[in-house]
Amino acid sequence: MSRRRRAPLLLAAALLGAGPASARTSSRAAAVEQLCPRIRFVGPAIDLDDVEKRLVCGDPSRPAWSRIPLNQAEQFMRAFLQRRGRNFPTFKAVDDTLEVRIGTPTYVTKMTTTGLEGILDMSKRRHIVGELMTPAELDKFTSAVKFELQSRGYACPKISVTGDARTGEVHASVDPGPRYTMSDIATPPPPGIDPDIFRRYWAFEPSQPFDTRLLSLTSDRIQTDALFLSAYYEVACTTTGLHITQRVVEAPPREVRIGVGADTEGYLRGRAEWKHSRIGYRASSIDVTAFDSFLEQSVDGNMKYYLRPSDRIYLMPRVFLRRESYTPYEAAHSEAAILPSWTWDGTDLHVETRGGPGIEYFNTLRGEGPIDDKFLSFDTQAKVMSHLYEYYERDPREGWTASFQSKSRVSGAYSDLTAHMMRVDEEDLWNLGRYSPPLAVLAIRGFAGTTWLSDPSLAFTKLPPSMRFFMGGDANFRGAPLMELPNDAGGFLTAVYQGVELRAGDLLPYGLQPLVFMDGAMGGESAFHLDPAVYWAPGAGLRWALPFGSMRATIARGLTWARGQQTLPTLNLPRWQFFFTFGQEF
Amino acid sequence: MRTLRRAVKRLLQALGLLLTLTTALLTAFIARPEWFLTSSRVERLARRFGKAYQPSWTSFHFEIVSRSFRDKTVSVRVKDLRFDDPAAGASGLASTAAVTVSFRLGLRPLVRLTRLDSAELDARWLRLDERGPRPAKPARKTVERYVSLPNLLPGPARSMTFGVVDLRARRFVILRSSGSLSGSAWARYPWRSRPQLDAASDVISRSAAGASRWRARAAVTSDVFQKGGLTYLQARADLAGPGSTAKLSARVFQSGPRQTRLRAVAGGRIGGHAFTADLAGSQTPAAYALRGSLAVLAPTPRLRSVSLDDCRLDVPLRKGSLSPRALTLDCQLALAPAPFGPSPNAVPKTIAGRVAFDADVKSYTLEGKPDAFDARLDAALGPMRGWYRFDARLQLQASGRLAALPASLKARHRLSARLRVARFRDLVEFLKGTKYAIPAPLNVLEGSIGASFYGSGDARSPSQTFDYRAGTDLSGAGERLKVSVAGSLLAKRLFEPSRSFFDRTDVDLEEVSVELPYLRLGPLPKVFVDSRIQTGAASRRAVDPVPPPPAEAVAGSTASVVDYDARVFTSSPAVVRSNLAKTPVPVSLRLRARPQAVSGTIAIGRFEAELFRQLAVIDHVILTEHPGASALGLDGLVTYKRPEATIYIHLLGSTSKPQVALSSDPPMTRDEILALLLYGQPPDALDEDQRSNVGNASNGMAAGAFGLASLYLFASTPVEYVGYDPATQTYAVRLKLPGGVHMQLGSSALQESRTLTLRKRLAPHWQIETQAATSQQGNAITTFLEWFERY
Repeated sequence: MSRRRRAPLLLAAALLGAGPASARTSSRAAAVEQLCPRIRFVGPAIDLDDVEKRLVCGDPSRPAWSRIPLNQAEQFMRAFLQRRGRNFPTFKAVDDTLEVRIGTPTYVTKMTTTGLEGILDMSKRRHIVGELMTPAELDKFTSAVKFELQSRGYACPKISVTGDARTGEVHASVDPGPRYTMSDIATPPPPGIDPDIFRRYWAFEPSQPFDTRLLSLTSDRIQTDALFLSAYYEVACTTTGLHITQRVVEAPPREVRIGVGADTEGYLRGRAEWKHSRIGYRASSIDVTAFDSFLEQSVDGNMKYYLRPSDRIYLMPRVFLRRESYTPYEAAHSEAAILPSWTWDGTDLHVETRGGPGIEYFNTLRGEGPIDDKFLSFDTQAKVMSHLYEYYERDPREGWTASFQSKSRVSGAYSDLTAHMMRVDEEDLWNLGRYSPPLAVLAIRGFAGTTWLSDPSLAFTKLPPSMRFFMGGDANFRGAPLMELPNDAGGFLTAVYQGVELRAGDLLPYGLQPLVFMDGAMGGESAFHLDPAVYWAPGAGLRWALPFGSMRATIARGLTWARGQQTLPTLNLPRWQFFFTFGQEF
Repeated sequence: MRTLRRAVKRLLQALGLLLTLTTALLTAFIARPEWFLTSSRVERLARRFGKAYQPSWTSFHFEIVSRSFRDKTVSVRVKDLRFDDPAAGASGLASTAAVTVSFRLGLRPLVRLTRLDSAELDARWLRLDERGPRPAKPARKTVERYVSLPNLLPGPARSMTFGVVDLRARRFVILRSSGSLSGSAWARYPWRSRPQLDAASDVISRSAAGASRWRARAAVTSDVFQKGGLTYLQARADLAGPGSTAKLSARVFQSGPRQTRLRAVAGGRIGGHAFTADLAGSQTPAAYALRGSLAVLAPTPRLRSVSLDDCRLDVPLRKGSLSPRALTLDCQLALAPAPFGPSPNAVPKTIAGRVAFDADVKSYTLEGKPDAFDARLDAALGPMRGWYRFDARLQLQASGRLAALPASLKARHRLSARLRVARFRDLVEFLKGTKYAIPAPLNVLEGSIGASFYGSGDARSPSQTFDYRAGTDLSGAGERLKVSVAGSLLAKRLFEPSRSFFDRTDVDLEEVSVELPYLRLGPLPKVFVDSRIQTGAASRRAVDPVPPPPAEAVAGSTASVVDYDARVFTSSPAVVRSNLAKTPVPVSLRLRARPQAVSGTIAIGRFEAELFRQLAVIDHVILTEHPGASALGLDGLVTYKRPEATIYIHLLGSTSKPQVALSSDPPMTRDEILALLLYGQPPDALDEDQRSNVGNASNGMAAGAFGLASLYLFASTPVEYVGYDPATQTYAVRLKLPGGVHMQLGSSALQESRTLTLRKRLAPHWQIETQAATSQQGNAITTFLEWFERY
């Protein structure tokens, strides 16, 4: 059939098809769904639960509720539809039947507030605009405003939220009330323990403005130490002011835990732990952990011995026995140390320091390092962390941390050589735009370290690998496998790493968060010296935020920029590197 | 002696001469007044005797013409006449004021006007200021006359005919303390060659309430203009103003010697309500009589019309006098309600009644005026009989002295109204399909309801008390509703703008048994629209629920005040049945509602329920409403009898934050009691997860974290998990329902904390824990799936 003859036929077919289609459309538009004999939906319908259906349709099993007048059914239906974001239903009584048109859904288009001028800007709050306008959504907005105010010192705000379904505006009228400080915290004494012990966990200063997040952080610290099964702060706003009361859920002090984890570095990980978290009235603690993975097997023992209940100074005896089996080396490594420690919390940050002597044993079984070496070392660690970093540690979004650690051994002081290892780590996160929940998180991390020896020739014979630097792995340079940069047993005596990552917030469903990153590293085979070669690894990945942890998968291309260097250390680059971890964060 | 006689003679001669001259002068004055009253002399006299009015003019012309000895014609014409009387507050300016009138001199009366040849007034402006103190007018003695048509005219003018009348006030202003009237007016005769007096006025009234414009027009036709006697008069008048119009047509004519008849028809709209009136009356020497009807259309949205039909007003006169001897009024009252209800015959088309009024004059003044009187008013509506019975009656007795009203007035009233519905089902059917339909579960009840309203006492008292009663005696479908209401309404200063009302009501729920709808374990369904979400057209933006400061009260505010004191109580406990309770729940109320607050108690009496999978006795739960409190105070006691101990659960605190205190006999710790309640075992026998649940539940209860409904559910259903979220300070409870279904209870507050909890329990002794760890590779968060045990 020629094209000229086909065209009218096609046109006729299209018209014929449009007719029934339009009839179908019009019949769809007038679709009627009978909910029950006296109630019917005209157009789209909603699902009512059993209780709701009985209230609007009547309950034959209950004579008093068997027949619902149409005006009463309409009132109930309005409430049920409102709960589903349908604020403009129309009703029509036809004979003894109520026709319900559920109307268009109402979405929140704008948030406005009064009384918050100069205090906070709710425009950064997400997941309210664009949601259905329902009473639950108004409750959510109320809670959001309350949380923001309680994070800024206004512990007892009065908030009244209304919604205008015609314009989509939700409005909060707020009386923030006075600003309170974190004082007057009542601590009912738990049996057998001095209540002052809770002060050592405080993530705040008593005089600082009230912040509900810091109360939660304090509770987390108590639970992390397994001091109690549960700990929380009850905040009561009364006519006499703000009252904060500590509440704990006691449990037996001793705990045994056996667990498993997994990642692409250590593959399967196993852990068994015994802990006594309340020794004496000062609630000192001791824990022994056996850890096993493909790369490392260890038994660690730690104790925190507090000299006074409220003191933040404690003595930390520590011992570990470890077998380390990494690509560059395999060794038996143990240490017994005693580290006086101290913590401190200011209004915005937390400080931990410890330092002390220890006896170490290192026996290199494979690779370069000392054989059957015992030595005295002096270890120091100092860590500074913002409260926000700690608060969001399991769902990183903002804050910063920096740490310094050193290990020193001096020849003649139960040591064959003099060596000083220093290392600085840092991590910063920014919630771009300061949205809540975050729209995007920009993070940078890095470290710089060097080991100085009085006799550099002993670096790869007498210096244990724990005092040398190996990069590669999910925790630093993601363009190389774990500890395979350099890809030899020697490692670096000086290393620098810097990584930057941009991660999307909850833009995708199911908690999927794509990310892109760039890692860079440099190394040197002598102290305080970096070779000109730059190792860099662009990559991308995905984070899946689950309620009890996060899964991360990254793929990166490890590359080398050999800047004028004639020889490079043994490298496994360029290469594609894939990592999958559970629980590991940037 | 002769001298004396001569003096007397001369004196008499002088007197005679004087008398002759005086008589001659007087005769000349009467015969030819124009010789004496010249224009200039009259002008001087006007200036002298009119000094109080400070008159001035540019031209004054006076002329008197003698047509005969007795018939005279006087013409006065003044141009640019200006006057000002400060004492009376009157002033004005007329371009022309002229009058020509003919009269005849006589003995009685001395002067009789025979014709008004012409009257012309063109006033450019007139002003009357009534704001100042006004001199008291001397009392004038009135002569009683029959109100016959001729007597409508003043005596001197009763034979007068009319020539031309042209009066105009281009602008006038009347100032009063309450405002002002300004406008223009005119009157003309004849009107377009017809023997008719036409007058019109256009007035603007100004007051504190605003300004309004009124227009009036009248036309009078009568034989008085041409015949010099009045035997008939026909008048038409129109009035128009803001929202109001009125037309009146009246005719009065002489039907016999000293007999007059009146016929008037009026209609219009005042204040948006239309009215019609039709009157016919007569006046004879023996009595006045008036017959007619009056109707107001749509006085309220619920009434189509209110009318007084077939009214008869009779006023018999005292013999030989014009004073009334008595007065009787009898009208048929008809109320036509607006259609209501699904059936066109659901409401009667007319509610009929009767208004009767009669009064007797018991004594008269010395001048023969009526003085002391007795009067009676009796107005009744109904009785209406159908599926309902309704009647209302007002009786009023008054007495006093007409000359000393209102001080001497005494009045007593009796007001009553009754409504009874013998079959409640009829009311249900009547309201079915309307927005006032009886809701479930009341619409299945049968029986009777009734209400009555009663008031009596001194009608003049500023305070009036009205009593009312109402009652129901309903039952059906296993329910019972017997309620009696008794109250009184006290109205103070009823007749003043600052009236106030105080209502005292007692509602006795004598026998109440209701069934709640089907409910499931879980949050109660919200059956009322959340008022926080507004959908009205006026809500352009969300209304700020924080109310603006109240407007300052205006001095002399006339807003009525309503105060009330209502008490609701149960003389025997009400019974509430629900599928969630094994036995009916007795509830006693003792509540008091006043404008400032509601107070009282709601006491749930003793009943049994299965809580914590055991039979418990709820001894009592008393909810107390305190004025100003947002939640009800809570006081309850639940008792368990177990082999190990008797456990007492005390409910304290408030409904929004109930505190649970546990005690037992023999004494046990809180955790031991909860472990027994939740799991039936002592704490030592529980596993870690169960112990954690007990601990969290214990702390949650003590902190008031659980709402009252959640507490009941918590107690009614096996508990799998209890948690307390420190980040949101809310609880979370996972319950196991029959059929293996799980239900989660907890606050719906936004989870503001991190997405990850420290430890997430999966099952007894199993959890997922996240832990921060520092390794050689740096800081890391690791997650483990763990088995755990605490001891």
